[in-house]
Amino acid sequence: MRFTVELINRSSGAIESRAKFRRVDRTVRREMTFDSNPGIARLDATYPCRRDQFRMLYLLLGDPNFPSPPVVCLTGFPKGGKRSCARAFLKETSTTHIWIDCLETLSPALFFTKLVNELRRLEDPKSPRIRLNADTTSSVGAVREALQSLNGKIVLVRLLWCTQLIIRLLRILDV
Amino acid sequence: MAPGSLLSVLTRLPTLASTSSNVQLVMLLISDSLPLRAFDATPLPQIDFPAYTKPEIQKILSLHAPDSLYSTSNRPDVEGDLDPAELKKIWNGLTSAVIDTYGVGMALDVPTILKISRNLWPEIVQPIIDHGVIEEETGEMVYGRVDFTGLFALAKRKGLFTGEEVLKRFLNLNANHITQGSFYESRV
Repeated sequence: MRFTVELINRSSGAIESRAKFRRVDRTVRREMTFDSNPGIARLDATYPCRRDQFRMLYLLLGDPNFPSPPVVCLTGFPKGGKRSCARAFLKETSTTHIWIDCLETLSPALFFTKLVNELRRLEDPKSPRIRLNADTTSSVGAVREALQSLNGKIVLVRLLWCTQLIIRLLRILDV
Repeated sequence: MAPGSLLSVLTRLPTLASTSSNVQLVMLLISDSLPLRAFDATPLPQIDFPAYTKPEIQKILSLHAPDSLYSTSNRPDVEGDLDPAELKKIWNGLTSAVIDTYGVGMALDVPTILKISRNLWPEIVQPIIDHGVIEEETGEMVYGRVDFTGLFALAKRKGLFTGEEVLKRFLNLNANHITQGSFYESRV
């Protein structure tokens, strides 16, 4: 808390300082809820030694009313528990999410088709599947259209398996 | 679309949602190796999952300690088992030995170490079963005090921790039994 007071004293503009105060205060509050969150305790027991990573995920994605950064990267060696930790975290925090594996969606057309269908299923689980062509502009338009009717925070999880290999494959296929 | 620009498009995808005030799209990229050049101009928040250290691997594997000396390959003839604390002690000794023997050179991961340890378990604990004494009054098997160092020496004499035979025997590399993420997800 002392840190937030210093921020206010040092800043010149009053409005800016209040905004900073609120931001820091929210972070501190979320840090506090992280430590007392029973869901996080459950995750910590199931996935030992990944508390720091869960803390970061919680700070970035945990609050449904707090804006998150547009992109978050999870990196590390294989079999480090990235996918499992992310899946368990999203499940525990009941965050709306879509999983897209790049092994299933090798080309941009396949990726956008899967994304649009999953977004449409969030709104209506019985919505019919559509297929998009390779035109990226129309795909982006379809994504925008699918997003129009949705609310809240949606986490799109994209698994990049051997990214370099896939980029090379795409180059070979000239997609 | 140029193949290299796919990631750039993906990172900009959430800006589409910004046109609508009700929805926020967050992209969570999970990768073993990221082509960092694609993200040069974008300071993205990155959460690193470092490789597990030996104590961390042991802590994770201790959650999978067997609850009995017996398994499907060696079924008990009479009732009785070792104390759970003793079982855990032997299991921790075994996982430590597996990591020290095979983990360093082979850079084994948690699921593989677990698989090797589980496969070695019946052979490691067999001397304990062999030296058990049947108590006449209760008809239960009673086991003596167990020392892992002794068990390890016996196992080494059998050739369990020497050479690559154990790895060849237990790791069926062609059969894809453990897929990525399946080990952890089975516990959720």
